[in-house]
Amino acid sequence: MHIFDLKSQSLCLWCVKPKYHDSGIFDLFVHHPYLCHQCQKLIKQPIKFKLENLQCKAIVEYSLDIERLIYRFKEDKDTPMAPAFYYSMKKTLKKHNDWVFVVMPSSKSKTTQRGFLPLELMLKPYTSNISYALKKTSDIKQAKQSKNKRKNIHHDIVCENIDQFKDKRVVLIDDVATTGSTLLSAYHLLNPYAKEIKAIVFAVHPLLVFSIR
Amino acid sequence: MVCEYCKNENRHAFFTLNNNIICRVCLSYVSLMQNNGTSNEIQYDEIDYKLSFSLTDKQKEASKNIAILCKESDVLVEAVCGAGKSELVLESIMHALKQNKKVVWAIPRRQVVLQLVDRLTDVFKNMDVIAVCEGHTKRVHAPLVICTTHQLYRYHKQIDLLILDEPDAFPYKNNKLLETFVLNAVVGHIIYLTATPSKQHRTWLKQGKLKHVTLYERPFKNPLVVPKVICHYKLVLIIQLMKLLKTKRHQTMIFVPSIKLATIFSTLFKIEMITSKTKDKDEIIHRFTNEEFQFLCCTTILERGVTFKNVHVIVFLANHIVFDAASLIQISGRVGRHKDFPTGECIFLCDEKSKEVETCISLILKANHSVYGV
Repeated sequence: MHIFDLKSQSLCLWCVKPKYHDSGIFDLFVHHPYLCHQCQKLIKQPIKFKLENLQCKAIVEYSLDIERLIYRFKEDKDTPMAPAFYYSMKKTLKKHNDWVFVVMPSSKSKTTQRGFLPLELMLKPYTSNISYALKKTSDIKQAKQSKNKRKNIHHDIVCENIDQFKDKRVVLIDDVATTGSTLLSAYHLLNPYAKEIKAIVFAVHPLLVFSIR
Repeated sequence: MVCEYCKNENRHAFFTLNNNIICRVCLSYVSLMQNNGTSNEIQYDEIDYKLSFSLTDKQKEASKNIAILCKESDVLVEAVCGAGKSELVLESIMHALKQNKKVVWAIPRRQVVLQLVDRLTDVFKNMDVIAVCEGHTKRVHAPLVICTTHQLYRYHKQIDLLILDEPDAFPYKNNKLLETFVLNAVVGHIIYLTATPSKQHRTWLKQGKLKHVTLYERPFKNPLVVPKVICHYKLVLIIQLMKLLKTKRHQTMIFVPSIKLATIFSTLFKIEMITSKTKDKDEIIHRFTNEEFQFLCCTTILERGVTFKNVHVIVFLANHIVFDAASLIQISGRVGRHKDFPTGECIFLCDEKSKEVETCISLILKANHSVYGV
């Protein structure tokens, strides 16, 4: 079965192959609106971990496949992929409907270059209560920093109109947690104001989970 | 709607971003291509190549034919393994470069690209020959570019002469996206180099779309090695393999159908292995070429394009679906490629009779018969 022979078959949002390619007979009973059965295998049980007192949940473990996916989405600007990232968490997101979803900031230059906010596209299908109050003050790319320098991210993150979070319940949202520094600095920034804070990330680095456990 | 680059027609694969319609199938290639630039035009008048050996009369004749034919149309060069396919196109390359044409040599496999670059650097001494493949993409333009077929997206409508080596090999074979990359890249003509032409090539030959040049004779005039088939139960085959490994005095490649089996054999027999998952492939091949170890267990990744001086071959489960006739011919073609060691042993271990094995042997016998009458 090849994509070029099937002019109208719907495609997997991640691998861009026909949705039922390489599917076994039992796979046909499991329906996913966005992904093929091979890509669904990338998503397993959610990973729960704790950064200081911050309860975190991750959808997948960070791996080469996930790195490629995120790169394709963010840098190659393959925006149709977005709804599939948080789909498996949609029930959890719905439960937190009255919470404020605070997305982790990207640098200004990167946002202008991309022309879209990746986390906004990922979350939009599941919630409308998204806050962009956190801002990055420098253009330093966190992914290119060493482990020690990543911890200094709290110097570069500020919160606009922080009073808006007074007595509110907040979910911090990020795509990848590598050392957890960004999430922690956001947590420290909002903790004195917010009533309760949780974090949901798409991918967590296995070393981070390992080091905590 | 049809994508300009990959010819995809599936409407679900298109989306709009900033008023541009984008195709998701080739999106990552196209975004790379836009930052790629084009080559500088340099005139090469004094270009020449020098081989460390002289071509046989038949090779010279074939080489001249190709150089003439490729000016007018696409050419299929059908030559047996070890006949010196690569050497046959050097003259065509030289003519094209002298006319300031863009020449690219594309091969489906990265391993073969790296080996060929070394060989061609020795042949074209005064010229810059570069490899463009995974891990080698800093420079993509040079007088002579050797690249994997995946990298052809970089040369959109730029190539005047494309040498497409082993078009019947994975991952190029049956890959529509890569075929489209080739069609998009070439504005001139293509020379296909193969030992086992596909059905598609045969059809094109019949339709007159391709010119045909054949060479069934190896340069040192020894016939192709005909594989010996041993057919037995799997367990007996494993014992047979152990015996062979104990008695063999030559360097031997053991081809297996899967990565899993390669890992098992590598641990069981304590031998080196190469699969697509192996990280230091280049280093292992380099050590095997230098005869630093005797046995190398590998998957079909090394079935073609690689040359070792004096190597014997064993194919474990040659009847497996992974090994088709073309792939078995290529594997047996690894034996007897050096002029000092023109013979060797090729053993197919099968647990069932297989049509592909039979076809492979009959094609080898046919090629031998057509040249040597044996």
